[in-house]
Amino acid sequence: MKTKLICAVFLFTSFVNAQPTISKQPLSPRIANYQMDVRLTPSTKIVEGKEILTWHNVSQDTIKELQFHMYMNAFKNTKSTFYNEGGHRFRGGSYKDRKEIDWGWVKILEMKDTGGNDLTNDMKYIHPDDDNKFDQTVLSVKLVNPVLPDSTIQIEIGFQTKLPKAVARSGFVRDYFLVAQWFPKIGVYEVPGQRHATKGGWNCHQYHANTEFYADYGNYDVKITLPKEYIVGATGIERETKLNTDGTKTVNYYAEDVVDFAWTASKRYQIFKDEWKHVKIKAMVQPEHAGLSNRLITAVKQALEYYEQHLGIYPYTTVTIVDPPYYAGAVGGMEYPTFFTTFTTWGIPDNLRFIESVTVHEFGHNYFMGLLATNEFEEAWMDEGFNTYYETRIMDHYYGEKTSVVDFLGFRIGDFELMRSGYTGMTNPKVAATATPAWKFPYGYSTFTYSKTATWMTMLERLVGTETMDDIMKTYYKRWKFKHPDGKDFIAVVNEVVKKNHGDKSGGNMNWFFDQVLYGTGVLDYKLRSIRNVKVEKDKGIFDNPADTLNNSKITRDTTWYKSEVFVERLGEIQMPVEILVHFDNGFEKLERWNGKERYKIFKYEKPHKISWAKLDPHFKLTMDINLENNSLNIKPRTSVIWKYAAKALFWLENMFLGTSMMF
Amino acid sequence: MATLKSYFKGLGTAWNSKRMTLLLYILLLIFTFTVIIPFFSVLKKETGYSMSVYPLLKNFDFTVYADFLQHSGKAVKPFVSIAIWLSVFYIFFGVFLSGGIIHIIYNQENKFSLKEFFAGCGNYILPFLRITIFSFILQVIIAILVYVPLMGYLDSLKETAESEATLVYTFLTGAAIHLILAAFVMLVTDYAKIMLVVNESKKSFVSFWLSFKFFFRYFFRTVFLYVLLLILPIAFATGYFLFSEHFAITSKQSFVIVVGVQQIFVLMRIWFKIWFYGSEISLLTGTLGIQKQTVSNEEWDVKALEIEEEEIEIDPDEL
Repeated sequence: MKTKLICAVFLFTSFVNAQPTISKQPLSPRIANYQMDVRLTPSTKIVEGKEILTWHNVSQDTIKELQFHMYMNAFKNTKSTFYNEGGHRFRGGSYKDRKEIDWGWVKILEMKDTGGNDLTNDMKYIHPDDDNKFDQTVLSVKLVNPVLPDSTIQIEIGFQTKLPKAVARSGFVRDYFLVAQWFPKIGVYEVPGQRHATKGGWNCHQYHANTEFYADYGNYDVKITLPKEYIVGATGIERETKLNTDGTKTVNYYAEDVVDFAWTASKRYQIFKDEWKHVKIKAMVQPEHAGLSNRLITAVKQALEYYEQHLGIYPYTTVTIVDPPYYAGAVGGMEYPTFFTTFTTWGIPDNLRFIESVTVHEFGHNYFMGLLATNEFEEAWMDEGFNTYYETRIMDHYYGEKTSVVDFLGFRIGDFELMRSGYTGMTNPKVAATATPAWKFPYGYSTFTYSKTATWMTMLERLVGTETMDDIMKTYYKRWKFKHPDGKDFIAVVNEVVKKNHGDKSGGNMNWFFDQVLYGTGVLDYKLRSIRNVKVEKDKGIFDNPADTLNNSKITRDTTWYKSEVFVERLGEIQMPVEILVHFDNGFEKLERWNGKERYKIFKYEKPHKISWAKLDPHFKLTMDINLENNSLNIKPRTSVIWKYAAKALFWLENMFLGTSMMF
Repeated sequence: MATLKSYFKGLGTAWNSKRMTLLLYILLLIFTFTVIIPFFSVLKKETGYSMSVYPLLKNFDFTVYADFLQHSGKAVKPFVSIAIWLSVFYIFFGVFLSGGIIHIIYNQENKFSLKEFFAGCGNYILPFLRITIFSFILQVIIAILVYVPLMGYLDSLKETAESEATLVYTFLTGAAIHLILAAFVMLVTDYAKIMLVVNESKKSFVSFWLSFKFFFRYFFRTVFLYVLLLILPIAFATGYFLFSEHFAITSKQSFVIVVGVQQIFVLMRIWFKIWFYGSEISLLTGTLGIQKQTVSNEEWDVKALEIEEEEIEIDPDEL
């Protein structure tokens, strides 16, 4: 056994050393490394080949079993967990009309360790998340020779993947291929302490309708053989393309320190190349979208620049933007390391920036998922939410806060506004906490994960200040890049940096914030209930002590005095510090601060001036406030806006009546 | 030449129909106010003393808009369905008014009086309604004939087309064909109404059929006139669009200017419609060589209605 172990370590070392490397030093622990040689047969939609998995046991446990993700089996039949959770509809339409060629699966043809032991005899599908015995998306393999602590095993796997008709991020349509989640992929063996685990164990979830992925870092050396007329793009760098005598070619891609490998093949791609500092940008677009390639590349350059300034440097040397054809929309808008798919559409005007928004978002996943490899199954908010937060920052920074997504025919919509409205527009924002594992949301997974997280991240930024927020995120990135942080790790960074920058102002830590917005289900709604101005009258009646009356003080003067008050109340469960701006009729303004904890608060004044208006949260820090209408009051309401919209409605109605009547 | 002559004749008719234009505008305004006044009150009640909607004065603000819809949408949304039902009702009202318009232009030689106008409205309402029903049926048939095969073709195209541009162009071509055919039906409808007035007939179907024949017999003439008539309204609409793109309501002064321009635009649409009718009447009577029979107010109710189909000067065979 010892001999075998030494042999395995040697093989691993020689595998890693033999490859031309990109980085001088490993950037990541390189736990799961793959060497693959596969062939795509376009007519059968099958990818078949071999992978040599070199896996390093970094734990102190002796590993007797390996667990593999077999994602493609989610599309094998109508009994998969993915199918049943998705209400039978997914990105890519219904399963109802699927023909035989449209289903997808992956199967192991052979599996052996370095000793030549056949491992297929002792493998079985397991269902760690539910009792669905028909689900085949997680495979358990018993090892003949266990992997000792801090040692390496090499497994040779022959596999066959039948790609599904494009569904949920992956598959084929006609002769177009986006090949992702396509090979038997080892799960993550979490060591004690990693993501606050108390003991070592496999973290290998089934493929659910709402879940994404979780994997260890490693190097990928992949050779793909396919008909020579296909144009290929993939994770990492293209090392070599070799023409074969049988009309095929073999393309070799190589990627270091990444958590996944995906690729695409199509005869129709047009390639556009550009560079940004050390990064080679490649846009693979449909010919009819060639005119949009510059918009895609510009968006990526802006994202690269912004991330470098506000989070950390992009460590890879390539980024590939993939533009799927309209008929393969199911694979659009998905991220893989150094490689992502976007959405474009022919003829979209420059001032409708949905394509920039998707591009910035998907690129951002290189950081949130790619470089900060969180567990997307269990804590999807850490990749989708954080990434959405950065998407809104980048889009609003480069294209205007109120115009970044739409600036068309008088309609203006900013990215953050759009994202926030997703959350505040929910019919029941209390149905689940953001920290819920992705497959356990009763509904609203996207809204809670993307929109709500981006909304409270922005609120956090506005409460602690952008500088501190950048400090938090930079610290988080620096400390956790190429690792697997969890929510508690992030909160620890927030607490540390906020304390460093603001002392104990926030109460020693920010747990109170996360308890409410991340782990809680409450909503935030403060209301400015009323403003009162009461003229101070001379006191009347009999007073034992004349000094008790106001008559001898200010009231006796010529000026009229008012007792005024502003009544604010907390309607929601979430408690946040609130500011209230009180404006008096002489132009004087007072900014009040309230801890927001009590159910209500009355601010009282006695001045020779009346309050003319008051605004709660005047700087819009409390972005989670689900009702902004009740945040302000003016004692003299201005109807100019109503007149404006009534006039608009009048005009539109007149034209509608005339238009319809003239048709007949 | 006959087309150009009719075009300018129509302009003259419209030019001399200021009172009728104003009446139609006021009626439209009253009609619209039945929605706008409660809409205004609801908006006022919903926004109350809140300052949250103030940003909307300067520009469209999505946050304010989305928040308003979230919390006040229930109060505002009923107005959408009310507006839709009212527009259906206004179709009938428009049919009613078109009788008055054509009567004034043709029978009264453009001499406007409220009494004559409403007499015309009342007299032609039923036959015009029947024409509208024919027109509606024809519009539905055309829409089915265009869109059912178009959608089927698009469905099959989706399986083979490499680019969505092909789908968009195909759909736009189908939609353009539908638009042209729908415009033809609108023209046939207009001429059918005119023929009914000119013939002093109540036979809607005959008029519709005669109009149909007239339209195809003098296809280039009628279509050319229609295209000519469309030029100014399109130019006017473009001008308004450019104005609205660059001039928004941000103050009291701009409110007055924008609302003024909008109402002039609406007034002009009504005026253009009278121009249309004037030109179409001129083209039809000119082409068929119809001599106007002057009918006095007194004769209207008794004599004119007794004119039989055979007595009129339009010979169906000539068409």
